[in-house]
Amino acid sequence: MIPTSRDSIKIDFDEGVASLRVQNVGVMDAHDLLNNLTNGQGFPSLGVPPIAPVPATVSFDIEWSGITESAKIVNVMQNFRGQFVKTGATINWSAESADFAFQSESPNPDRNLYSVIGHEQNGVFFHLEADDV
Amino acid sequence: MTRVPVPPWRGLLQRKTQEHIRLFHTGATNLTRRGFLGTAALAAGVVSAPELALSPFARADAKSGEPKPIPGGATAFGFLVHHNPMPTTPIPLTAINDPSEIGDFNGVIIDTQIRGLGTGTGLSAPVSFRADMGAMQGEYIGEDGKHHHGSFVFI
Repeated sequence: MIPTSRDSIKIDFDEGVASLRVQNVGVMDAHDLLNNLTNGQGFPSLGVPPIAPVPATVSFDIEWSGITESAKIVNVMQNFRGQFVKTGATINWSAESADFAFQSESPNPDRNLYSVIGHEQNGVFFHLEADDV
Repeated sequence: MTRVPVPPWRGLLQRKTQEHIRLFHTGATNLTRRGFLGTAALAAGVVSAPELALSPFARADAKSGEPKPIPGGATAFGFLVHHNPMPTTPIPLTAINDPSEIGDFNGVIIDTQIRGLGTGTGLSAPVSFRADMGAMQGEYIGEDGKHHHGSFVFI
């Protein structure tokens, strides 16, 4: 999780539309999942050798649109509540390091698995309201 | 030797991660803060293409008011990550876990579990990827106990 500019996030909750656009943010490319989890130390018991992370940049444009479901969620176990809409989404994603570059296919709505836009409160901001029960 | 101040929440995350490594992964010790943040980024979702698994740069600037992580999260290969991935199956919206990575948070959140194809250097054919990415924007109680506003992206 990294801070980003306010302008990179645009949300219209009522319309079920949002976007997240980030250009050339610096990250470390850890090569694979387990080297990411172990900060480049590999995972010998699973046969994954250590590979040191390298600097990279990523850019992405994710678009949310098309409400398919709307719900108020009140989850006492996890201490969060909020109004959420489930939507469609598309992604355009690219990455570049010194010796590798990756570019996703053109945005394709069929690739969405599960996307939401929400306005939530958790932790100390969580509270029950009269109509929750 | 020059010491770089470590913000409290990062120090806490590092200690907790090292404790977890010591307890459950004795062959892999001394996981750094960058490793933890990478873990968070990873669960937040990056690419099944073998060349890409990304973690944010470690930032040396010491700031108070860093956000606190949510208490729970998901586990990947025994590593607790303070993030609940979006579902990969069409469950009811009311059944999702807290999509925020920030605890004590009041704001808007966007999150997607999405897949696709892509091409990369040295790859002879398109490879598949799946990403769980999003952003949070709003008010939170920072590690310093004070109210803050901010915008954050998880990759």
